[in-house]
Amino acid sequence: MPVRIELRRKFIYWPPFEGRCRVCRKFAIACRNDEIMELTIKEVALHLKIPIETLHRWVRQGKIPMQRNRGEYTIRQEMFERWADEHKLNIHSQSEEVQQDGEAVFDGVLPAMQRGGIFYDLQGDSKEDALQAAVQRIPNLERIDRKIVFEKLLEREQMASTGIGHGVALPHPRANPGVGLMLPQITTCFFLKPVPYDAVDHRPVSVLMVLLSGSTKLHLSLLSKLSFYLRNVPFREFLLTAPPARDILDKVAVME
Amino acid sequence: MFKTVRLKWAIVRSDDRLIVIALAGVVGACSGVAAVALNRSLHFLAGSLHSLQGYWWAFILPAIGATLSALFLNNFLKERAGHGVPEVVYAVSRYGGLLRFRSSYSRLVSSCLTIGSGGSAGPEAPVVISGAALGSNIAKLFSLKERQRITLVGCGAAGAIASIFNAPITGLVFTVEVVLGEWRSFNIIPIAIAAVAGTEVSRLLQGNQIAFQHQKFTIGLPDIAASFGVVVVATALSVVLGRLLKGMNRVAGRTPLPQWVRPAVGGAMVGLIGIGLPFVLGEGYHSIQEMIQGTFKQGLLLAALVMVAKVAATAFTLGWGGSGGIFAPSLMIGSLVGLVYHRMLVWMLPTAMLSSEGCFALLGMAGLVSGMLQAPLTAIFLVVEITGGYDVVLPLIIVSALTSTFCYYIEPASFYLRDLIEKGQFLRPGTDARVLSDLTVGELVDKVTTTVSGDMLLRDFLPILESSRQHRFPVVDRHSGNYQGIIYVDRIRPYLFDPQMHAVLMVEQVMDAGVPTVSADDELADVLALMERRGLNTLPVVEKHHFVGMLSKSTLLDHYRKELIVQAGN
Repeated sequence: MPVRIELRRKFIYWPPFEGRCRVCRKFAIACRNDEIMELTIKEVALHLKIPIETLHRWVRQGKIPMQRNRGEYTIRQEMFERWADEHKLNIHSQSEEVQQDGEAVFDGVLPAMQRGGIFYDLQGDSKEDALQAAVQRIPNLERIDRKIVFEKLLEREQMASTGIGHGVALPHPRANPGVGLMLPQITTCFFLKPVPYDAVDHRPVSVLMVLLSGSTKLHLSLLSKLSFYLRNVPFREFLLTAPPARDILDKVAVME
Repeated sequence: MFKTVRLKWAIVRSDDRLIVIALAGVVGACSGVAAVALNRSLHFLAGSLHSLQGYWWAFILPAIGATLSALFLNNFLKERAGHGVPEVVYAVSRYGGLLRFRSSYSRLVSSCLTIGSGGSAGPEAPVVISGAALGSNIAKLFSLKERQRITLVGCGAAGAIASIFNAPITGLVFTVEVVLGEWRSFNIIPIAIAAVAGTEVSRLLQGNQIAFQHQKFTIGLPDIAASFGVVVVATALSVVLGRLLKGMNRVAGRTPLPQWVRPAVGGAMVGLIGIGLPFVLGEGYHSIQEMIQGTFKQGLLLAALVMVAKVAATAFTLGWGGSGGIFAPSLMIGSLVGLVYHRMLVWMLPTAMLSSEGCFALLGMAGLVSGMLQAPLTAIFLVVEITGGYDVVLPLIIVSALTSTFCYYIEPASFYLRDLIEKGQFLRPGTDARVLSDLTVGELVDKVTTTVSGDMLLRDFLPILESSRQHRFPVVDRHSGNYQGIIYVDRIRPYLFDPQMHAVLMVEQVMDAGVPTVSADDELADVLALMERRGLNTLPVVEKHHFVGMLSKSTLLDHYRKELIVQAGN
């Protein structure tokens, strides 16, 4: 906020006391008082979440006690709060969207794969064994969380298989597992020999890509992006050959 | 400690009630002076014309008076003729109490001419509009907000009524019940002060006299039983008077006479009636006094004849364009109603232990006032105060309450408000109509960020749909920017899921072009009616062929609630 506006609001304009603070009557330099706060019509409209035209009409109709100070309608903060309280109008609400700002934003498949890591030569004879082996490899997880994640993954598999066909499966929990992961991650696991997995095309699976993320929204974006990449036949074939990690990441970087 | 005091002072200073309370006394005193002025000039005019009553041509006096008043009002000051009170209510409900300064004296002069020359009308409505106009202009002088101005308008009305009847409570109750229709401390405190000021001015200038002195009445159970009969008669007379006034107005409107001649016709008729029955001329306070004191000598049939004649004379005066109020004629007719009813009852049941006929005159007055105004409290307090007759208050309450209720069944609106309601301009604060008339379409428009052009292929529209959170996409012409129609996403699903159509269909082929549009200055009530008729929840707002935004019921509810909260106060 520009300093001049601040001065104009806080200090008196009226000649005998010009330039003095409204509360302590000291000059600007000596005044240590920052209690007084006057709200302009724009700020009041923002607080009330109404269009400024409505507020102008309210002022004209005398529904809100705003005073005219040199061409601009203002109201003191405490008067405004009193008024809003009397009318049971909410002026302190923070909208949901604003609170979500602290949350991580989706940054792409490549960083997620880098965070999740790529592991080779896993072994497993059944779906449970394969998942257990994969969960053991997932980084950034506490020991106790691994158990939760494994249960959640299994629960999801019992509802419908995550084997998307062509030897690839994308195990993921149904909902946010609540294990304190800030950023989404994809753990890629290659199996020595294909695991029977009830996939949609009944082919055994040799690549598991385990998706974990901190929020449903991120999870959905990650899942849709990854399955979009896997629809690309050359990339899928390339993945089934269990290439070195560097090559996979390079390929994904190109696709992104 | 000083800091606390200063903070408190800041709150007191910015409280908008204080200045209203301070100004209320001034407004009440001013309107009191106006009322006294009208009262004095009426007496003067009636006194100076009294000597002429003996001549045969005296019947044209009311005609001359009414014509002069109409000329003065319509041609000289260019004001609408009217009773006064409906204009005040209209100004309060539609224009935040804005009244012209000339209204503060125009009705005074014109009603003085009409009534002083013998027209059958009352001086109360003219002083109400004078007081209200004074209040409005004083508020304008101090550049007060609308709400404070409305309160000062009420103060003017209260001061005027309080002064002319020397009855402060009546002024307060009449204003709140009839003019403002809002029982809130924000209004009542200043109005009470104004009523006191108006009464005090009247007492200083005219002395503390009660309009109609009376002896003590003793009320028994038979009187209360008999008061139910007063209710019936008063209801009938109120309805007849109201209908007759309206009918006369319609007849006068159809006659092919220039506007300034019409009051002359009505005035001449009144004058002719007045030759035979001089009681009907003027506001009739003298006859009322006689009836209350029981010195009204004429017999039953003559009294009934006078009653009918007074109704006719009032209809002729006011219906044909004379200037004045309905208050005093109502009092006069009401006291005649009570008198005739009492004499009928005594004639039929000579043994009944009834109170004197003056008591029934009071009941009739209350009945007719509450029937015409549909304001029972005003009637009760008026009669109690102007007669000092608190001993009749029990039957008075019964008569007032029941008469106004019965009249409400027959005529759903009071005489003052009938025209306003017909025009849809009767907007009491805190009602749906008021909230809708305050909000404008322009305030409720939701801005829509993404628009599409009509010649776009459906294929090109898909990425926009994918990345946007909107459900409705306005379609505008690529070149002129004109609004063409709107895409409801939920209505184009068959095309969205059919990939073969993506390259074939254009956006303008799948859009809805038939959705009605509204403009930013449309009346919200009409817009809502349109939404309900068409079963739509949102409508596009279009201004000069350009799309402005969407108007949705959800936004409307949000703003409607806030508006209602702020309007109804705490």
